[in-house]
Amino acid sequence: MKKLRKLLHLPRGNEAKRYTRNKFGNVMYFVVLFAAGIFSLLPMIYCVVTSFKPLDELLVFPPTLFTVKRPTIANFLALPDLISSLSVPLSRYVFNSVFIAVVGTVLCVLFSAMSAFVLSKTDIKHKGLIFTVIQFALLFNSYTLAIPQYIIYSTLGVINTYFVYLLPTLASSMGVFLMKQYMDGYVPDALIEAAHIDGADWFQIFGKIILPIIKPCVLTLTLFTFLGLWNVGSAGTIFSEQLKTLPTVMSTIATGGLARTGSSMAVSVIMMIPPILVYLISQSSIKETMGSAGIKG
Amino acid sequence: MFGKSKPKSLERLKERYAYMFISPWIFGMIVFFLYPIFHSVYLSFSKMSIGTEGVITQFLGIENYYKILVTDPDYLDSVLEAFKSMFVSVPFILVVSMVLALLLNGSYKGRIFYRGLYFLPVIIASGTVLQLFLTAGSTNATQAAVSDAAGFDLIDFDAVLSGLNLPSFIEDYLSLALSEIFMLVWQSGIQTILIIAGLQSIPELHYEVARVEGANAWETFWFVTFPQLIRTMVLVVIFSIIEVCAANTNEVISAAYRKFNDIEYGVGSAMLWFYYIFVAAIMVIIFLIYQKVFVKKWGESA
Repeated sequence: MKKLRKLLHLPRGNEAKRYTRNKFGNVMYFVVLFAAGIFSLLPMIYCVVTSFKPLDELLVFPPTLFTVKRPTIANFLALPDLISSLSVPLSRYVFNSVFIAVVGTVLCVLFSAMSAFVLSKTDIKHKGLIFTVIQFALLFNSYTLAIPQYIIYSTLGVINTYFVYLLPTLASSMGVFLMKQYMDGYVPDALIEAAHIDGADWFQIFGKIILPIIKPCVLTLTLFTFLGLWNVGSAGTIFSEQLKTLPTVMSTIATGGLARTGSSMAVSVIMMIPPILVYLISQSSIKETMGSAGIKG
Repeated sequence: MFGKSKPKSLERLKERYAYMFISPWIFGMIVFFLYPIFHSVYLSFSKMSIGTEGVITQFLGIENYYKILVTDPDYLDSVLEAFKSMFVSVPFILVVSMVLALLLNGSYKGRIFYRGLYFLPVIIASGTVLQLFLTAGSTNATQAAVSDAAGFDLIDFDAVLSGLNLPSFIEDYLSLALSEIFMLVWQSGIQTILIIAGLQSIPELHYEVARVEGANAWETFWFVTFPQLIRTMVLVVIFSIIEVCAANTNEVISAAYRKFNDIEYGVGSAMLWFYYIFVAAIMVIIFLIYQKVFVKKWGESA
């Protein structure tokens, strides 16, 4: 290992290939990938298939999950009718969902990165205590704290506003934890010193040095946060229909009973599209990261 | 030398801006997490009732805990059940996500497509879809139909397992894991992404050196990939434990939710707190192992 580490300072070659595999290995590689891929695709197939099922096939017992005998788009066609019975136009729900997901994600990622930067690279007081609190906070899911949080919201007077969705993103323990671990490992202190000597101020260090290096982490957290906020419901803190989000619409349709299964699947198929897009965008740019190449040997 | 020629040293900068950068988060943490936590601990020692003057809380002492530990016949069983499922699920999720991440990290055509494929269950599972999926018919019927569709029942796993002559506890473990294999693979999506992000951060150079030195794939994994991934792995272990322990389908959590719905918030909180103490203890042990064993061993490289 020692020899290996010494050799790490060798200049970088042109080839980027890691290690070679023989032909049989390559075939096996893709067989395994493909098989496991099909496996994880099953719930998706189920959703899509169900959304195309006519009513009588939905009610068959035992349920047929992945086959449809007479596909129909009736479930999708029924949606405008179901939606027109809502008191608020659908576009308002779409706006709410997109607004909350985008603004919340930006806030959450930014504040997490800022706090992680401080926790990882400075010696502020009670650093250990703060980090312990973060680890502790990871344990709790929102339901446990629902009632005390409701009391806080009502004290702050933010019940029935967008703030109910956005304020909790200020205190994302997962985000800070993820980013701090990442910065500890991959952002060398020497890099910050070097930037400072070159005359960068605090904000330049953060924006031009730290953020580009932690890009894989930023993109991953963006994905998770977006996913969480896209699916957020209002849970007793939003009463005005104007401020509710798409999952509310979805559950309204789904509570229509067994007969609506097809339509609720049709909505969920539509609901899945934005997270998939965010996923594709975030993952396709991860490869172009600097990694820890910030400092060259 | 350089420090003096600059108007402000780095330390001064840090002093000045550190609190500014962290204060929004600290505010959020105190108001939306720490205060509710203490309130919830307080509730676990009291009785909440809704009267004409709104919510009334009355301090009871340890009565709620006495109720769940001594009077309630099911609670301790459900705690045991929850930990059993944790010890089955977490190692399995780790192995699956590690293998998938290593497979997916190569550079080949369609990389993004394959990664997307594995992440789909996460997107679906976080919505209401999975709920519908699991309640479509009884869960058993669904699982049977899934195995049927996947050609999974062609192999009689129990027969294969008993043929291997493994020690009985390993056999039990494997058959338990196999019975939940679908849920477990679908739960591995986020962990896979986390490990991929960790893998991406290992400089290409290290692999090149390993190759020049003549290391084979196995040695490369253990001497280059694994030591550099240990930080990510701790995160993934913690994340998996939380995913399993705080899931809504967990025995203890769902028992507590039923209490919440019956407006017995005190008893429900007590149920959760008693359980969390043990989960927290497990996490502390994992951190200690990480600090004592791994950081010492790989020190600078991790």
